[in-house]
Amino acid sequence: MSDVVDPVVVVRNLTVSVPHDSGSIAVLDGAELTVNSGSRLGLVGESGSGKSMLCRAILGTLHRHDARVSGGTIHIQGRDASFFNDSDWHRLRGTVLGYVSQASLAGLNPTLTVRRHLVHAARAVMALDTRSAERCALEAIEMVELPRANRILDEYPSQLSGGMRQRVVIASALLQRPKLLVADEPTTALDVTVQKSIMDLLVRLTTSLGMSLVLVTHDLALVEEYTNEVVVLYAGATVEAGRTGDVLNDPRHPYTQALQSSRLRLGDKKLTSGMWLPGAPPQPGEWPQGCRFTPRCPHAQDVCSSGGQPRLEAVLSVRRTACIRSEEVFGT
Amino acid sequence: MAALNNGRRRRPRVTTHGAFLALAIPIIVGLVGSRLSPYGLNDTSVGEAFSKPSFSHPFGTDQIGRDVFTRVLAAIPINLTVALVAVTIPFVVGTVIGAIIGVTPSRWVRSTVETVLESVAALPLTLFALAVVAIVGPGLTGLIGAVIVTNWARYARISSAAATKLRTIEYVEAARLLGYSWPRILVRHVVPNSFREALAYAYNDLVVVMLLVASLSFLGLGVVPPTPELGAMIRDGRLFLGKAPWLTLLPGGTIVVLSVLITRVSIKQSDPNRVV
Amino acid sequence: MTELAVEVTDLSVRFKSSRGHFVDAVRHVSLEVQAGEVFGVVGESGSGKSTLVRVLAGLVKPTDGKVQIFGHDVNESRRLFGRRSQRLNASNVQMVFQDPYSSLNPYLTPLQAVTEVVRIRQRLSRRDSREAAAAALEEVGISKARAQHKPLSLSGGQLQRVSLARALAANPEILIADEPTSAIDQSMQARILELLLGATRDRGLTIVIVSHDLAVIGHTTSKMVVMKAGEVVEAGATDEILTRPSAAYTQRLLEAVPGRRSRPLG
Repeated sequence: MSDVVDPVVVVRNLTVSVPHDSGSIAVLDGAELTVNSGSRLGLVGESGSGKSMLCRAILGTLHRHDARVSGGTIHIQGRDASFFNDSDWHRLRGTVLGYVSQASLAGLNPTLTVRRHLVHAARAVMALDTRSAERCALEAIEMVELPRANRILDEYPSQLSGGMRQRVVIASALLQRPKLLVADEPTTALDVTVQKSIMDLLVRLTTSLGMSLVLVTHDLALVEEYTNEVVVLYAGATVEAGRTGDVLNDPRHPYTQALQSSRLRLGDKKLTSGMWLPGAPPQPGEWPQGCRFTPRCPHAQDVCSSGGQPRLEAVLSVRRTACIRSEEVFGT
Repeated sequence: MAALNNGRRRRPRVTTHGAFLALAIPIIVGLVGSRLSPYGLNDTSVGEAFSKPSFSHPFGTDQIGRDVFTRVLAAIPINLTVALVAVTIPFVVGTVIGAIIGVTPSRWVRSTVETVLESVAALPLTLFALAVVAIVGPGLTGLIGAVIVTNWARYARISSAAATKLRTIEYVEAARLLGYSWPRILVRHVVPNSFREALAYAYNDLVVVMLLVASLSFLGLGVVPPTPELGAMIRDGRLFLGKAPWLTLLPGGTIVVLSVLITRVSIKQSDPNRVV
Repeated sequence: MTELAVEVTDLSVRFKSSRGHFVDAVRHVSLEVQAGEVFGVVGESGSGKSTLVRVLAGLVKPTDGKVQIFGHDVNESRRLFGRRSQRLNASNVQMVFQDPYSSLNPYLTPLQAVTEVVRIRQRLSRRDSREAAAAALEEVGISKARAQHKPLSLSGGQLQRVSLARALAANPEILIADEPTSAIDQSMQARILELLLGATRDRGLTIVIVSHDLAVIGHTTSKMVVMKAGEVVEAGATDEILTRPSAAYTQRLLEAVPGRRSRPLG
């Protein structure tokens, strides 16, 4: 792993729990993530994988969902987040950590013009007079490449298309030029042409702002197209991590392999039986013993269901996998 | 707890069973208790008038020596049953009518009927009840009738709004494609999924109606004496507030306790973390 | 010469929005679907693709033009929607919807829901209907045990399969799948599509698949149309259109599809 540049976020062996009945249930257990400066990382997971919880853990918003860290570590810019109090997190959000998601689109107040929304957002985090805040808002709109910025500022969200609204949301997340932008399924509800333009924008912004991007998605095609590193999450644990091209072309975990095989591609015609996995990913509270992928894994053997969820181990120079049989299954 | 729900957010669930059971208990206690009591409802005993609460008369006696406790026990089922009837009938009628209105495809028809509903629902309950009683004279029938005639529209409004959303929901469209007739769709799919909102209102309404009946009885416009009823008992007792405060405070306290009981039950039933 | 399952001639659908102005959701669309074919309708949001198929299903009234399902005018059938005997014949179009979470009544278990359909459509006794329903659910991979749980406990993929079983239990001649895989995890998408295609083979069903995902259409359909702003922009054989599109819009759609660089795993 290249540690030459200081990683922005390092998550190690993270356990996150939520209360349930009279006790608690782990929704993440064995989650690992490293976001290097300037990299674009794909966080891949399906339902029940815990990918949204992992985002909340990094952003310090777990408590809003009744969840808490019950094991492992999170380091933001080298500092241990378990010592953060509310005001520490508050300072980080916006200046270091930015967030954009599907829900953010609904968060655009329909009674506020774009200008008021951005000015309000700017003044909430920075001590600015009106004129500076307005300038800040204008710069933000231009940064997300919305044409005729002055006109856009006076529009209401309902007058804008889905793609334009998403750009406004991105603009408000980038007001303080954070070091890391976490984008949680930012393009799910958007048409494919709009998706491309938003993703292209995000890629350009990572270069121009020297910003890292965590793209949370279940769509491997997006990961392939727009990220250079990838972390695969299954049932609350990281099962594989490495460079995107390597992982997708030469996976070292049966789940990654299955995900890649299940992709429907333009140009392929046939649906083959290897294209889907039986069953469904286990939900928190229903995780099986041993490796959580065992019930659906085509390569599972007895050894896989003993012990706990395997940890990530290095297999190739910059690849880590949690499959204890990876050498037998995939070769060296 | 999105993670535990396949990512779906859970709507607060309001169910019926627990609530009705909870209300049945005080009703039964009241009925049985008043029967078991050694004192009759109207056993007067002038010599014992105005006795303070004691072991033999837990709530004391009133101005003509009747045991207050027995009367309160007898009044509880009356207050509760009247409230239940005055709420259940509008609830059922209003919810069904509202569901039918909600699924009407014609936007024009829907808005016209909804305007009518809003007008009826806008009639203030208490004033209307007073007006009705002024015309037909005091008595429970007039009172309950007045409540039913205005309140059903409120339930219909709530249920109609919920049903309108359901008109285009996928499982209703599926039912149409499968050839279900609209009455069947209403019974099977629309009403069961739209009455929850009205039910939440109904719990609140129980308390409101109970207090309305007690208030009107307090004014002498509700029950006819000597039927025991908590509001009427407060009315009778208020003349002796200095001498025998328990005659007003205890029946009044009972009303408060019943209201709190109903409210607590409705809160528990609406707990969003409850599994259906 | 196979019959025409669907024949749409110059169809237009106009809605009045809640604000009072008119929306032309579908404009002068014509298309044909042969019996037994798997037909694709591709478009982005606002293209009118969902409105179009809802007209085919009889859920939406056409403003202009003609739509025939196996020779019967859809409008005629719509008017008879209320009468039971006609309904049983007219509703030979069933649908699987995009949102699996609102496709099932939350108070009915899958087994109850499908049993009801079997009873109404196949006129079997209560016990036979239940058995037939359980079998139909097994065919789509839902065990009898799981079929007796309320929908709340099922995953999106499972819910979608239940919807499919319910639609098939009504013995349709045409099945419309409106974005059947959009709300489902990737590892389960191919399964739904495979089940859909299996239904064509086994029952000679005609299937219309609506999707914004060109790969889904490419894997399943033999003929397709591309829609934009209510109009058909391109129509023809799927393979042709996806490799040599003639319309500029189709070209743009193809270019916007991410992830075409990696090869499938050998």
